[in-house]
Amino acid sequence: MNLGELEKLVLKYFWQIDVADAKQVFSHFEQSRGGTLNTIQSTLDRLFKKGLLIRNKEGHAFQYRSAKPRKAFIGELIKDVTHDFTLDDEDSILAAFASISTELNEKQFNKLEKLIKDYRAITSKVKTK
Amino acid sequence: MIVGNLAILFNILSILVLTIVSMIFVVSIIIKLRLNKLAHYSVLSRRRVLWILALSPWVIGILTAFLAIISDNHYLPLPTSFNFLHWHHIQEFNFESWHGLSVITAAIYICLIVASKLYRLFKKNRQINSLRAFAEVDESGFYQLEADAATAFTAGYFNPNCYITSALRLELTPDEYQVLQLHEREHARRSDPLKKWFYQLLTAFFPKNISEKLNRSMSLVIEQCADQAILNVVEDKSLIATTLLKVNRLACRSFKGVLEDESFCYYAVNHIEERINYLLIEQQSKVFSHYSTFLVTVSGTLICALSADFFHHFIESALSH
Repeated sequence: MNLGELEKLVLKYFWQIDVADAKQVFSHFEQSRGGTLNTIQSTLDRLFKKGLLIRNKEGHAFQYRSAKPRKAFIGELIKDVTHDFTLDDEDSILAAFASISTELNEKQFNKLEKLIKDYRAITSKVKTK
Repeated sequence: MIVGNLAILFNILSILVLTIVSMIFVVSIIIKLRLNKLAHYSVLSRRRVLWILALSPWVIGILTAFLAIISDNHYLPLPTSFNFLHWHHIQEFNFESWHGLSVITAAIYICLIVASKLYRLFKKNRQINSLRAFAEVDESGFYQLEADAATAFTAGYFNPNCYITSALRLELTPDEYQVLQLHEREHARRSDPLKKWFYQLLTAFFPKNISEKLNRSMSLVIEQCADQAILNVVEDKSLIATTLLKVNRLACRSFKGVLEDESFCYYAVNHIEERINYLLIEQQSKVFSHYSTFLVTVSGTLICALSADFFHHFIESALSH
């Protein structure tokens, strides 16, 4: 998912508040970023079209709110970024501590745990000698 | 038909293309038959061999082309010439000949591969930038992501950063977190994501099953190098192995259902097992020397250079010139 700088800021803003219309968003960013009401309106429209905001018409103005909680949204971004190391071609361009594609079953976990336990036992014996 | 210096240049490119294709064929056979033997070597030796295998078609191709340039005084006005690499009608080049076809096909293929890899790089970079914008940097410079999935990784090409999710951070003890940080910092210090991307660009010219083998082996080696770096600070190998297993278990739990390919799971099991085994058991491994690297490169170049004319005549005979 590609997001512009202002889109990211607006999204963060909606995670802090519940509902806002374009004028409220504009007044929030007016002092820190400047810009125009039109820019904010088109940003809100883009976020709505991307499915990141939902809106209801109340009177003449749209009332916007976040479509997904912060955690769920970041979870999706992580999925996007890490998608390539869940594929079977190991075509990943990330470096991960433990690849999420590595699915061991309980038996295999136990085998490795036993190996570590044995190693600890041997090294502690050597130390005591 | 092109005549003169430009024709020499295109003929040299033709030699370059033929050498690269021949080397990819030879190296693919070597990988198919012998890559498993690499497991007995130390992690640093394996890394060196994997880079040599991926780079050899290009390096030997360029060296052979260079020999063709200086041989017989074709292109550079060198005072002495040695005429051991012969390429007849080097002063003439026709785009409608098999030389022309090979150069054009190779140029298009290389452009397509590079363009697709660059597209992938920029796309991934945009995704990483978005992710970074929603992360909070902690006191140690790690990017903390508020998410339920337990994972940690290093991402970014020219300025790589380390990421960890809140779900994983909560589960780790201070010692385990230190192990994870040392591992990820090593990836960032060595610019592993960029190296991985470049390696995948090189292996993209090999047949798919060979490139997959190479990428998997390089992926394992990169992780093992980062594991080894932890040992400079943390002496307890069992702590590293335990952390690896714990993080793996948590990551699997988070992403259960995402993965369906059984065959890949089998490989991945070996991946984790190999890392833990290498950490705890197999530290005394064979070493691949610099001398062997040099010998392989020189002999490969000479064989390619000396066989260029033979290969050329062989094809021209088949096509009745």
